[in-house]
Amino acid sequence: MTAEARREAWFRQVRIWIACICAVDQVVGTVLLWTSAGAARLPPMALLLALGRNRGLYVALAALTIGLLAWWGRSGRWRVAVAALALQALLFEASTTVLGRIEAERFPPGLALLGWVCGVAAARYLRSSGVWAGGAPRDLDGFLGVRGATAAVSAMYVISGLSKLVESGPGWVGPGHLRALVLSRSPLPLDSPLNAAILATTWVPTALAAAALVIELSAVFAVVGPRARLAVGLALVGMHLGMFVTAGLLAVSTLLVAWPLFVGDGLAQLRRGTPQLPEADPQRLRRALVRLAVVGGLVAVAAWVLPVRQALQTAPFHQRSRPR
Amino acid sequence: MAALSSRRLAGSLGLGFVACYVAAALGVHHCYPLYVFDMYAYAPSGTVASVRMELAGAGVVPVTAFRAVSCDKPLSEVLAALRDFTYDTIQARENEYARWLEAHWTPAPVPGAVPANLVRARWSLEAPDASRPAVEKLFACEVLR
Repeated sequence: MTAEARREAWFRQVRIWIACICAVDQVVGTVLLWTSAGAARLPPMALLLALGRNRGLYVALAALTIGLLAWWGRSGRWRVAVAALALQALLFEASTTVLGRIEAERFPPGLALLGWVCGVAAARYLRSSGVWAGGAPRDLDGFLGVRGATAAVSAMYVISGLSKLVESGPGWVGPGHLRALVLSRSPLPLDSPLNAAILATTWVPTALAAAALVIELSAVFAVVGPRARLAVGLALVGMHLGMFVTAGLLAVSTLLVAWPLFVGDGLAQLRRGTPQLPEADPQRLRRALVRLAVVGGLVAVAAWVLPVRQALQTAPFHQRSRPR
Repeated sequence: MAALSSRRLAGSLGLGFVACYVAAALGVHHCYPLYVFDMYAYAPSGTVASVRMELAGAGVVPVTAFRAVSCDKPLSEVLAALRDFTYDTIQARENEYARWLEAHWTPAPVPGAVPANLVRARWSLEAPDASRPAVEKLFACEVLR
């Protein structure tokens, strides 16, 4: 088996894994909606609300999505992945509109799929724009697809860290956040040695919070190379285990997505290498990369300009009341 | 012609993707699969309160530690105290406690029950030692472990 074939086999395995996690997420989302009381607390958007309340239609679309995911996992067809992602987005927003809360745990599988779609789109665009006169290697699509999925999950951690800094500033690493989290996760035993130290000292919760913030922000380095990806992946797994031990929070779908994309893929790339690219035409390469950057920038601008935020406005994640 | 490693290409594209994702997600807050993941980003206020049970010798423990509870007031009054959101609390947890109390409430003390106080415990989150909450008695109860 050639190195290229071994890499392709790995990229296929990752693709099938992402498809499986997305399919499981669809089942979870359908069960959540099915068992909910159906009290819509979000500003109703007629189409999403109607879809979320029409359980027959919702289940049919969820089944179609799972079918598309299975097809994508087997074939790797880009258009099938786009269709599955679009349906997943529609069903998620319908479910969120009806449930009245954001299920944060359901984002990572869709993020990995989005990253794969963007990575393969970039590979196809570079190939079609004549960057490589002799043609690009066969496994470039799979390579950039998996890299895209990794970048998307990295982005999730980076923005999670940035959100903490934006909302609370550097003071987020004070003892209050971790203590509030520990105290909120009853009936966890508060007398475990670690939780006792979190409540009884200020340096333990401060050090743990600072470590979590640094690990989340350092996830950006996972896109740089396999060793960084491996190191960041192990640090992230450690952080998640720490969250489980202290606050009883186990991010199952996040770990199922992050482990193969960070630790598994870091090891795989160290063993199997990366695709060898032929000489590139520098002018065409620069032009293609600039165009990709412009497309990404336009998407970001659209996110700010279009009224999406207002339309999907939701209640705070933790509904807290204030002392009188 | 220029040599470009696939690793460098993937790194550049990946960094560009991360930047675009962050910018777009901050714009929409949440629109699947974009999200800012800010569920633990907000600063807590200075204290967190919770309804707990206080036992002689056992300290302040969650109400879910008991198999049967009865108090000197009707269940409706007890539940109203749990839903008193004039205190800074985590609503989901207090709702969980309320459901548990409803399921394990007995109109009168069961054999083997011991005296306890249903209290509102308040932890000062920024205090050097937050392990000892301030306790305010709400009801006199009897509980069975």
